[in-house]
Formats: sequence, C-alpha cells, structure tokens
Amino acid sequence: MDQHDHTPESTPEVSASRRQLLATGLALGGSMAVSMPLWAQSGPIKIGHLTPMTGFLGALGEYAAQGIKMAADEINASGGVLGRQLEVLTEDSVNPQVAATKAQRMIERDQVAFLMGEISSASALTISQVAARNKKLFMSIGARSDVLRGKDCNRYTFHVDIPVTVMVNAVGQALLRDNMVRGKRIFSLTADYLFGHDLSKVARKFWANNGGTLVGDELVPTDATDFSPYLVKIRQARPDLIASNLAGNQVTNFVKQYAEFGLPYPVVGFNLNTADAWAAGEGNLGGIWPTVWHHELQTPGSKAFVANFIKRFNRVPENHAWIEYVSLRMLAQAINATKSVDTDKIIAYFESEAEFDILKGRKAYFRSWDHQLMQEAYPFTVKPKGTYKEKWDFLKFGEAVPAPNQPLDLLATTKEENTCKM
Amino acid sequence: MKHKHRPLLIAAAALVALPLVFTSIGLTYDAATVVVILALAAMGLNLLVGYTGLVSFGHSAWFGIGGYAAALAQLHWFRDQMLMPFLFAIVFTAVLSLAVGFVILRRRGVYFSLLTLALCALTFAISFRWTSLTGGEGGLGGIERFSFGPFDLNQHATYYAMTALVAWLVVFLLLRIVRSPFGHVLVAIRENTQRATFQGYPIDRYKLVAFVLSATITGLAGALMVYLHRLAAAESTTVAFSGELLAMVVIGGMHHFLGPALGALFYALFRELFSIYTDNWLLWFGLVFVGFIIFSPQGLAGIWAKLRARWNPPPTDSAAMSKRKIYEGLPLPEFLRPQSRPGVVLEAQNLSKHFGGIRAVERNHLSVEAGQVHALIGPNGAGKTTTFNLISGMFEPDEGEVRLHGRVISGQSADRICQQGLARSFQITNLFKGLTIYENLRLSLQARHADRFNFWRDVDDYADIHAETRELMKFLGLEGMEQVGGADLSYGGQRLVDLGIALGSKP
Amino acid sequence: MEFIFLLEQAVNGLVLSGYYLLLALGLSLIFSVGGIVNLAHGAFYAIGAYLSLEVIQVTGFASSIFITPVLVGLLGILFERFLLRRFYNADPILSLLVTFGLAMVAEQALRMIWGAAPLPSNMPPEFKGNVMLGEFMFSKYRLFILGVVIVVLSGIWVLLNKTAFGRVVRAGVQRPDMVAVLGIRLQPYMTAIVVLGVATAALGGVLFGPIAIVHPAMGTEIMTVAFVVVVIGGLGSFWGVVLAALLVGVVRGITIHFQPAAGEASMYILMFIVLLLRPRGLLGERIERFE
Repeated sequence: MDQHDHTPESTPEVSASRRQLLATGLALGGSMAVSMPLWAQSGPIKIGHLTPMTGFLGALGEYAAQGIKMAADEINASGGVLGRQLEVLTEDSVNPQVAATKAQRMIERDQVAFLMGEISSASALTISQVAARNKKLFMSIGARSDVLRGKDCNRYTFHVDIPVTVMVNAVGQALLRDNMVRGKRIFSLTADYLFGHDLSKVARKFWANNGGTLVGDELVPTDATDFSPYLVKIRQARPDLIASNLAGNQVTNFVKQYAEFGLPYPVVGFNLNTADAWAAGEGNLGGIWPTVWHHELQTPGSKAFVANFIKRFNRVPENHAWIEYVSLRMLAQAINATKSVDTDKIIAYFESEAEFDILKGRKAYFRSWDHQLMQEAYPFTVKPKGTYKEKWDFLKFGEAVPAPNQPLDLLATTKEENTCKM
Repeated sequence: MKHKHRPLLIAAAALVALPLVFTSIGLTYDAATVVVILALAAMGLNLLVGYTGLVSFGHSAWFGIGGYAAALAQLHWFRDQMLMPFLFAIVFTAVLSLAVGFVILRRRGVYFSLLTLALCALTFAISFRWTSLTGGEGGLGGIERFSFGPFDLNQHATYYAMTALVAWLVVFLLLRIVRSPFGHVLVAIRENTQRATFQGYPIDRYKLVAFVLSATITGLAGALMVYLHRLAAAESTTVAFSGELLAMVVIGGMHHFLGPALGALFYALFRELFSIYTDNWLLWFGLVFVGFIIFSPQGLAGIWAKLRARWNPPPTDSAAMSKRKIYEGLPLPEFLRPQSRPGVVLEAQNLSKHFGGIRAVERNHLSVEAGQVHALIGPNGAGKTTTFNLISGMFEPDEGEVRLHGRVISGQSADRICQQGLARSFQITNLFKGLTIYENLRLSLQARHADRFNFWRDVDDYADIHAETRELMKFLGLEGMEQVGGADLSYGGQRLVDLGIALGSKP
Repeated sequence: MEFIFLLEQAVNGLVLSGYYLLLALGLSLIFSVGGIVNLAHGAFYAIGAYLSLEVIQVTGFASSIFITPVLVGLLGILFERFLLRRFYNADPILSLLVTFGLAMVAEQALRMIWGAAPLPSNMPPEFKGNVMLGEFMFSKYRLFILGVVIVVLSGIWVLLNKTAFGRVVRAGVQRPDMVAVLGIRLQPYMTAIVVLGVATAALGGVLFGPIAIVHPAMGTEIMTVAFVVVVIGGLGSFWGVVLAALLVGVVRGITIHFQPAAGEASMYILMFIVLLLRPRGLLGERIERFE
C-alpha cells in the first residue's frame, strides 16, 4: 500500500520548544511592557507556520522551516517588531486535511496573529479557506498552483512563490529559443494532485500555442515510488521530448530511474526545486527547468543570506529556505509600516503594491487584484560533467526573466486568464 | 435497575464535563468534538471486536466511506442541507457493509482480519487515486454546515452539543443492543462459536448484522467528522488510522462497554499534550499500545476493574461445586417434556462418510423409538463420534439420510437441525468457559425462543426464559451455582452443564 | 506493436515481483513456523534501507548487501526473543495487534533517528543503463535484483527441503507437539527462521533503496504488497508465495498499462477474489487455529 505517513501532530526540532520561546518571549515582552506604556501590547507576536515535513515534499519543508527560523532569529536579535518578539510556531502540515485542522487549532488555541507557509498547493488551499473563514491573513509561501490565485483566491491570502503560468513561460522562452517545441512530439508526466493538474493545463496551452504535439500525459500519484511502468509507456510513445509536470521528490525519483534505464530522450520540466535537483544526483539530471531563486545569485543581499545560512545550518540554502526567509521579512516590514498587527491594515498595505527587497536584482510587490507577488525567475540547465567541483555546483543558472527592461508582470497571468474575484 | 443504566449516566456526565475540562486546560471545543467522534467510531468497532470477537483491521474504511458519502451527497444532491446527506451516509454505509460483510464473513479468524485489512487498503487506494470522484489527495472541500432552527451549527459549541447528543443516542442504542438477546448471542459467538451453532443459532446471520451495525456506527462518526472539518479526505481511510482506532479499543478495554470511549479520550489527550513536548508522541503512544497488549490486554477499563476488585473484594467462595443445592427426585421440567409421539423418532439409513481414503462410517443404520434409550457401542475408531457428528449436522454425510420424526434433516446446517428438535452434548466438554453457568443454559433456552433475534429489548424482560433457566438448573442440581464461571467447574460439573446446554435446546 | 508493450509491462511487473518475493517469503516463513502474521515485517525492510545508507558510506554498496541483512538479523534475534515468543501460543489476534503496534513504533523511531524528510540514495554507476533482450528493455539494476532474488530463493528452498534443519522446520510447521515429543527443541529453529525472515526483508530494503527514496513510511507501504502476496499464495506455502508474487506483478503491470491509477487497487481486488474462491490461498494448507 502506498500511504501517506500519518502523524497528525509533531513539532520539528528546528523551532525551539514552544514553552522555552514562550517563556523568553513573555519575559522580554513583559520587560518591554514595563518600559513602553499605553499602546504597546506585551507578549510576542505569534505566527502559525505550516510546512510539509513528511511525504514527497518533506525535504523541501525542512529547508523552509530553517529559512523562516533564521529570519525570525535575525529580526528578534535586532529588537523584534514594534518592540515585540516574533514567535514562529512551525508544524508539519502532513496533508491537506491535517493542515486545515492544525491551522484552525493554531488560530483558536494558540491565538496566532498570522498564518504562513505551505508548499503543497492542495494543503495551501485548505489552509486559505480556514484563514478566510476566521478572517486571518495567510501568506501562502511555496504553493504554485494557478487556481489558488485564480478561481480559489480570497482576500485574506497572499501568494509569494511564482505561479505555474510564470514557470511555464520562463522555461518556455528557453525552449522556444532552443527550437525544442515546434513540430515536436512531447510526452508528459503529471503529478496527480491540484498543482500537477494545474501545471498540465497551462503546459498544454503552451504546447498548443507553439506548435508542439502532446502525445501522452500520464498522471502519477504523489506516493508512487516505481516509475518503470511509465518508462515503458514513454518508450512505446517514442517522443522527441519528455516534459515533467511532477512535484517534489517525484521528480527526483523519476530522474533517477530514468537514468537507471538510460533512455535517450531529453527531459525538461516546469517544476523543480534545487533540493530535488541535488537529490537526483549529478549525472542523472539534464534539460531545462525553472527556479524562483538560486544560491549563485550575485546580489549582495543574496550572497550574505547564503553565507549566513551555510554558517548556521551547514548546508547550502535552496529556494524554499530563501523564500520563507524573505516572506517573514516582508511581513515584518508590513507590521512596522502600519504599526499594527491588524489583519485588515496589513492587507491594505500589501494591496498598496508596496515594494519589498527580496534579495534579487529588482524589488518585488504584491499585485493588488490577485495578491500575487511580482518577481523575477530564472531558468537553469545542467553543467557538463567535469566542469564543477562540489555536488551542488552542477546546476547552471541563467539570467533573470523578465529581463531588466521588461515589466515585472510580463510572464504572469493576465486579467483575461485569471478569474480571481475577491 | 439502575446498575444497568449506569453507562448511560456516565456517558451523559462525561459528555457534559468534557468541553468544560478541555477548555480549562487550553484545548478547544473542536478538540472535544473530535474526542466524541472518535469515541463513537471506537465503540462501533468494539461491537465487532470486543463483543463478537471479530477483529477488523480496516474499520477506518467505513469511517471514510461514511464521510465521503455525506460529502458527495451534499455536494451533488442536497446542496444546502446537512440532515439529508447525513442520513444518506448512514444508509449507504449500511447497504455497502451488508454487501461486503456477506462476502467476507464467509471467512473466519485471521483470514477475516486480513480481508478487512485489504479492504481498508483498497478503500485508501480508491480515495487517494480516483481523483475525479473523491478529490484525490486534496479531498472534497467546500462542505458546509447550516443552521438547525435557531441553532447555528457553524458555532463550535453548538456543533459540539449536536455531536454529543447524537453520540449519546448511539450509546443508548448500543446499550440496548448489548443487553438484548441478540447482544448476548454475539458474546456466545465470541466465546464458543461452535457450541452456539449447536444451540441452534444461525451464527452467520448474527455476525452479518453485527458487522453492519458496527460499520454503520463508525460510518456515522465519519460523516460527523466531515462536517466538523468541512473536508472529506483520504486521510480518514488509512490503515494507520484503523490501527489507531483499534489501539483506542484495546487500550480503553475491549470487554467493557464504555472502554473504547475511554481509549479515545486517552488517545486525544495523549496527542494534544505530548505533541507539545515531543515531536515523536506517536512513538510513545505506540509503545503504550504494545505495552497494553503484552501486559494488560483488558485495557484501562480492565485495570480499573481490577483495582475496584482490590478495594471491594468479592466475598470469598469455597469450591464451586459446594454451593449446590441438590433436590432429590425432581421430575423433568414441564417445558422439556415434548408431546409424546409414539413410533420412530430418529432414523438414520445408509449413512456413510469418507475422509479422503478413510471410510469412517460405512452404511450405518440407526433407529430410535419414542421413550427409548439407545446406546451405541464400539471399539476405538469404530466411528461412533463420526456418526454422532453426521446426525447432529457437524458434517454432511456422503451417502444416506437422517430423519427426525419423518422429516429429513441430513444435509442441513447444525443450527437448523437443532431448531428442529435434535440436541447433542459433546464428548469433550464444550461449554462457554468465559460465561456463567446460568448464561450457558439461558442461551440454550433463548435459542428456541421467538425473540432470539431481538436487539432492542432487555434480556431481563424475558421472564419466561429466566423461569425456564432456573427450573432447569434446579433439575440438574446446579441451583446455587448460577454465577460460577464455566471454567471454574470441576470436570463433573462441566459435564453436567454440557448436558444441560443440550437439554436446554428443548429437544 | 501495442501488444509488445503490454507484454513488456507484464514482464516489467514480473521483475518487480522478484523484489516483492523477497519480502513475502520472509513473512511466509515466520508465519509457517511461528504461526504469527508479522505485521512489523515492513519495519525490518525499512530498517534495512536506512542502515544500508549508513553502511554504504563505510564499505560501499557491494558489501552492504551482505552486511546490512546480517545486522538486521541480529535485531531479529532480539525481536523474536522478547516479543514474538510470548505470542506463539496466544490468540492469533493478539500477535496481529502487537506486531501492528510494533510497526507503528518502528516507523516513529526511524523518524526520530533519521528525520522525517526522505533521504536520497544513489545507485553505483556500474549498475546504470539498460539491457536489451530482443524487443524488451530491462534496467541492468533490476535484472541484478532479480538475480539476487533467484539466488536467495534457491538457497532457502535448499535449506528447507534438503537439509536436516529444514526437515525439523517443516515438521514443526505441521505438528509442533510431535516434534517436541520426539525430543527436539523447536525454539532455536524458530529463532533461526525469524532471523532468516527479517534478514530477507532487510535485503529487500538494501536493494530497493537506490531506485527509490528512503523515508520512514516505506515499511508500511511495502507491507500491504507483501502480505497480499502471501495471502494470495497461501499462508505457509513456499511455492504458493512464488506463484502469487509473479501473479501480482503481472496483474499490476497489465493494469497500469491501461489505467495507471488502478494499479494499486488491482492487487487488493485480486486478493479479494482469491480469498473468496480459495480461502487458504492458491496453494495454502489448512491451519486450524486461523479459522
């Protein structure tokens, strides 16, 4: 039986024990309250953080938890926000049902001011519904499905990561440039859940609009470990190109087994996180993929972040660590700017399209009508063997898209494509 | 009178106290609702496991099926209602479990348990992968709660109250079932399936009804959970969740009525409180579960019972047999005297039975007339017991036929043969060792009663059966030993009871 | 052309069977001798996979194939001595429950020690690539697994049928009381069989690690397949398990060809059908206490 790991509630080692943090927070907050009269509330600002630490997205969730922790510690070390410490309660979201339950509990029992996190689009959806029902802000950090920003959007949810449309467009540009689309036969493997279905839909449009023919699109369950049946089908189809709409460690598994069988068709994909790429292993991965951020980015902010992360956690950060890091900083900025933790005021601040420094070349902002963060993305390929030293060096990152002279929302969905109504 | 209804009072008190206690230690109303729902599911499971002795490793399948049925019903047919989808879920689960039970109850013991495990895994596979029907990994969201008259079920406290009310009603129903003739037969099936058959009970029917009731109650709990979370997901159908339900039953105490509810509370508290201190609370819970199985299979309720026995020790008994009051020269009780029908009562002709190459019985003839005592003598291996087994229905004869009062009984099941008036005792005593002598005999008498399927009326209401049992005990010289357990008897006592069980079938 | 690929799916399924067989065999062995359905069997598979990740770093892949099962076998001795032994003569349901609980505990322990996130493992580069046999393409590595399985299978068969050890074991399966009366102490044999069973499971874990991802729930995932195979084949039958493994692999492969999502479900439906028509499995024997 292929089952989800079933552990409804667990607190990872990454976040300090709640009691300890609570004690410190109360002590600090208490002393602050003594010195700051009137408007300052004592006690830390609690943030409910949910991220998958088990299952096919589990490796990414670990990075996410580390990223947000580093941000929280940095902010707290420099005095916190509005004089209060940030207390991030990180928990394993496990699956959509458990995520919703935990989100509800965090709001009711733990009295969190905001909800943040999530990588699985299916879980993000259930959390966003809980958030809307309770009128609490939810920053959906790593979930990429289009429908979250589209027909399932709501006023209380903001989306940080690049959505499916941007990912397809980012890779698509490179594919068109390399002449891998027009007249080609493409075989796809799609993750059988919300995100995968979304990605497949947008990818199909892309192929259709650019003269490619989709000869097969197989749905792969998220807990599948053996890809050999799909490889047999690929061999039967004899495509010119294999396009992956898989997620999390499905990609890793597929790529490994693909290399195991040694099939000759080139593989590209519209979704890959650097952690999954590393896990696939050098020599197994090829093709073109998109990413929202990478560790070789040459901006000063990014370089400092990477250095600090390596020093603290002894490993190179991948994009989920980065995105959680900057998300907490964005929230902190919003709280400071509005001088409150009131949900409506923060929403208004974000919707004002205020700009944030997310350690990239260009600043980012939330689009007011669909709450999507507008930012750059990067396509990447693999370096030829022998041209790199460390195992995490085998990826070759391209230039930012959109280009510096193009508008930041160039690759994003248009109002015609996006049915979001808030 | 009051003793019988104590579980209802305890349940009511607990349901009222639970949210108060929970909120005082920082937990929510929703957490209390979850406890009630899990307790309900566990009690449903226990009807099968604790009472009937059929261990189901896949009860979460019913929990999930009930939930999905309610969700699909609301999403597709009963858009703005809660009651109709809920009723649909109950009916659907009952019908489906009837079909499934009919098929898998043909196997017993370990094979039955493994079949339930496979059923659960199959249900998970369908829930997780049939995305167009069940929503796949994301599940079915968008379930809504509405108002019931002036009560808005979207409020946490109101929903808890409704759940508690439903739970209490189900507990009431369960109590009636357990105290009914039907419920007592389930226990007999658990204790000694074979003897129950020979007492005249068609045990397959009982097992099926127990299975359906058990599955439906758990399915009902599943529907309540879907309304609580406003989401139906594959999470509810995992084998791991089945295991947790079973753990609740075992830890709480499977031979006690409210045991599973206690187990559910334990589980929930464990989870809520331990998860604050350690990420690995399920590890400790698993260890506790294993510990209970090894050291105290009777669970928490069993520990409580043992402690109570320490504080209030029951009066010491001298040897079991010494309590007898023997009445000399008692006539056969009235109800055991059949109308006299002269002539051949039992006739067996040309009976043959082969086991592989061994011919155990070869063309036997037997004829017993009214009022006769007929003895069958033969050396070891002659086939005496096999002949008995053929006549009483344990095996079907390869050839020949048996007639009772002229009607053919060979080829029928043992319970049907018994119902027609033929009873047998066993060479190796075959009692219900875990039950009292009184109950052993009462079950026989109940088997011939019209109300033997009744699952609503209390067993104590049947004064006629009780009168007959007392008279039978008096006749057998067992009066005064009613409460002695079958296992506590000496060999002679056991033989007496064995004979009594056969007599109790009113042959 | 279509048919060739259907056949290839079936054959691919067969190859996968080989690896199910390793697990099912161990499970069946323990069942035959101890009368216990070891629902914790998958845990040993998972432990084998995790341990091999550590062992590989020290000795490399080839050696870990031998070393890891031995280590897990040692664990099996403790398992038999302190846990299983209590339940040989108990109600079979209790042993089901206790091994189920143990599986739960083992999974959580793995999470605690190695973390919840899946761990990557790499295949040695010599094994990568495919081999063409006529029209069929096989991965080199899976053929290697198949080879290992055949070797292990033969070894166990010889052990059970051609040695004195095997004779005692087979007698013990049928009538343990008679074996005792003959003056033979059955206990050490049972321990040996349990050790053999869990070591085979661990070997399965070592072999499958490089193909897939190692994560704490992998034990439970594989358990259902393993026991489906055992139950279809017949609790207690050697050839039944082999036959069932092949059948399950082929049925799964064919189902996936037409409807991948139903591949999983097809196994259970097969098991249902077999259990209803032949309750003791295809080649199983009647063991009274399980009915």
